[in-house]
Amino acid sequence: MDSITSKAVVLSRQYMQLRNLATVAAAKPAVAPRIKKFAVYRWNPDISGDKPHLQTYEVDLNTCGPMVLDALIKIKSEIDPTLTFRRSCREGICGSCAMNIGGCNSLACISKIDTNLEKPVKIHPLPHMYVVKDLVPDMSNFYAQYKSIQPWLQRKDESKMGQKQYLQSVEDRQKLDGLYECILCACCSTSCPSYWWNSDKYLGPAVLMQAYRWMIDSRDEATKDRLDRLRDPFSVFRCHTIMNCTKACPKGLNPGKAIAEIKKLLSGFTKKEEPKLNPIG
Amino acid sequence: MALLRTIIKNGTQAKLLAAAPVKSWQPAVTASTFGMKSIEANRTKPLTNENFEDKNKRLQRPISPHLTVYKFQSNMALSIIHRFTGLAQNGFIYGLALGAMTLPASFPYYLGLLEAAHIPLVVLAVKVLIAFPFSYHLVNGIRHLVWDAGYSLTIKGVESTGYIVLAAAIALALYLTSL
Repeated sequence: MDSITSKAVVLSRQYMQLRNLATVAAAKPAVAPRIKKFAVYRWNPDISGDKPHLQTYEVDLNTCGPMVLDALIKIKSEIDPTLTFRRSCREGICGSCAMNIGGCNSLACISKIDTNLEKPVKIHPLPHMYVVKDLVPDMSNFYAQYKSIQPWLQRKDESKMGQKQYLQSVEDRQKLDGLYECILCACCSTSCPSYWWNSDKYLGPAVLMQAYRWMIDSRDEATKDRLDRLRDPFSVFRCHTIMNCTKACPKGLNPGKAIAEIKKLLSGFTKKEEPKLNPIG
Repeated sequence: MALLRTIIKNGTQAKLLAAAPVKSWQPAVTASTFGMKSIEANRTKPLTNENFEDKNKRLQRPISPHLTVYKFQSNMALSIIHRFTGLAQNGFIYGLALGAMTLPASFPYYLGLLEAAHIPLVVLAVKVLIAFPFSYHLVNGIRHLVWDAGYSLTIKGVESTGYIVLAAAIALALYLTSL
């Protein structure tokens, strides 16, 4: 018994060695590196007298993930740790990595790197925003504008709030599809030339679409107040239907259409429909 | 009687709490006092009263590039042409009005001068130059009215109506030139 087991062990060991040799002999041939150039906007507030400039990095696409964010993280970890950008979820849902890639605003984590090695990829921060550092814009104005439209449900009688859910019919809930999915990444607002020239007074597509989302919510009763707050020449009417916003949206939403619907409500051309189901039952 | 019972109960509770070695967490607002106003905190107030513009100017932050980097797309192009043709028509009317007021001779005289110069195709070019802003602005204006009514506000809709507008504008301009 012993001799048989020992023979079996020896044989199996020799077999494994043969297999290993075969694998090593058939090793993959060296793959030619695919070098892609990334021209990234850089500006450092801590360096006095620094002017914004483009810095070019070279990345081997064979050792990098397919998305622009993968390349930026690779550059930061292997080539230049001072490269600064916002990022979080890496799956296109948080909106942190919004930037201008190849001339169009999008999320870096869901933008595929163009594999054409002849042309460099140009990466800039969101257009016409104050730059905090490198690819990080100052979003405080954007958030303040979002706050100003009061993005919460408002009812005339809020004494019993939280006791029961407010009812909403399926049809009324479908009106919110395409509006509630906004992740407030600011790609649309910063693609709008009107918002570039008037970002202090014009609210921008992202904020206006959310204003519309609350206006047409059947459970909301403050529609008249919401509309009255927008009755000036700048908040809504700087929109000239350029439609850059809808083209830029990385989630496939349509802010341009929402703004047109707000204009129709403001002019009295359409009225908000009565809720199909009474929210307080 | 009930009050006495409450005092005794509270007293007992206080004794138990004092005896307990672990500090128990008392919520500041209990369920019975729930209401938005009582929880209103000043968390949303900014730390300073500094304005957004002032802060960014103080920190001398640059503004990120816009026109120089943004990809020039068809919808942007047609929109800016709409603005330029509108301004061009405005300019023509101003020119016509000012010319009529200041220049000595009448319009047919100046037209005759231009024709007499015998530069090939110049009259035709001038006619196209005047007709195209009018025709383009008119047809694109109709597209704007369609948009204001809420129709065709999708990426495909904008693109297809854009082609229709361009074709119709050129056709109308050529027709007006031929008159």
